[in-house]
Amino acid sequence: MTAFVYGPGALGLIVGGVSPNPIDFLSNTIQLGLSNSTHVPNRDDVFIDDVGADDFVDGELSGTGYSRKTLANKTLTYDATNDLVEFDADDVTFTAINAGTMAQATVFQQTGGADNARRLICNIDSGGFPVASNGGDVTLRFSSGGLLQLTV
Amino acid sequence: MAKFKAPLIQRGLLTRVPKLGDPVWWAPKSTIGIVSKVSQVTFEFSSGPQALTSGGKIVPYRYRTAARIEDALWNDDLQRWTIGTGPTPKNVRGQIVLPEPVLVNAQ
Repeated sequence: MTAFVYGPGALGLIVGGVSPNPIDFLSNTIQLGLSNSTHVPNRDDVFIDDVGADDFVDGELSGTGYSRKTLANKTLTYDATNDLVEFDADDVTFTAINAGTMAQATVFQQTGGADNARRLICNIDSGGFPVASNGGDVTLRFSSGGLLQLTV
Repeated sequence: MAKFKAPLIQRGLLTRVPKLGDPVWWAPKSTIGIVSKVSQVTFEFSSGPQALTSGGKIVPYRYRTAARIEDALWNDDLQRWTIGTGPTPKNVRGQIVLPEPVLVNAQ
């Protein structure tokens, strides 16, 4: 499995996609959660609870030190040299986490409704995953190019 | 540590907002920028060196970035906005000293 952008999520970021409202990366609350191998990401999934048995919510970690994190200081950048649109935010730290083995991180739009209305954006399983938590801190450091890049 | 004054949000009003031409320090990429557009909730700034695009066009700034106004912090010492977390310049007796670049390999 490699990191990828969910197809419906990409459409939402650009024009609105399958839901009535577009995903506004800067203005919406965007969150990041961790899940174990029970979650089998599929780039065609739309919501973090997509009715299946292997959605993000089915494999989401549970335990000491874990909670979904809201991305802070988000930026959207066009890199003219590399023809990239970069989505970036502050690194995310889970303090004293002991909640099982994290297989990937999932970024999604946090709406006011339930998990079956929270739209998936991207799945990240590179850069050190899987990680077995043991009570220490775990920091997800996004690269200098951001957590998500679109090539234009 | 540099002092900064975060924009105050009182009853939906900010005490200071970015305006066109304001200098910006973009901490994650350690670059200096300039505010190029301001909307109600977001603003844009241009930063980085002059760049040659894949289409053969020369643009004055490599990066064009959008961010939320409430995420911009005004730094009194540096007299500029700062966005994101990362190395920040220092005001040394009136001179702005940029942070040292981080070495990838120490050889």
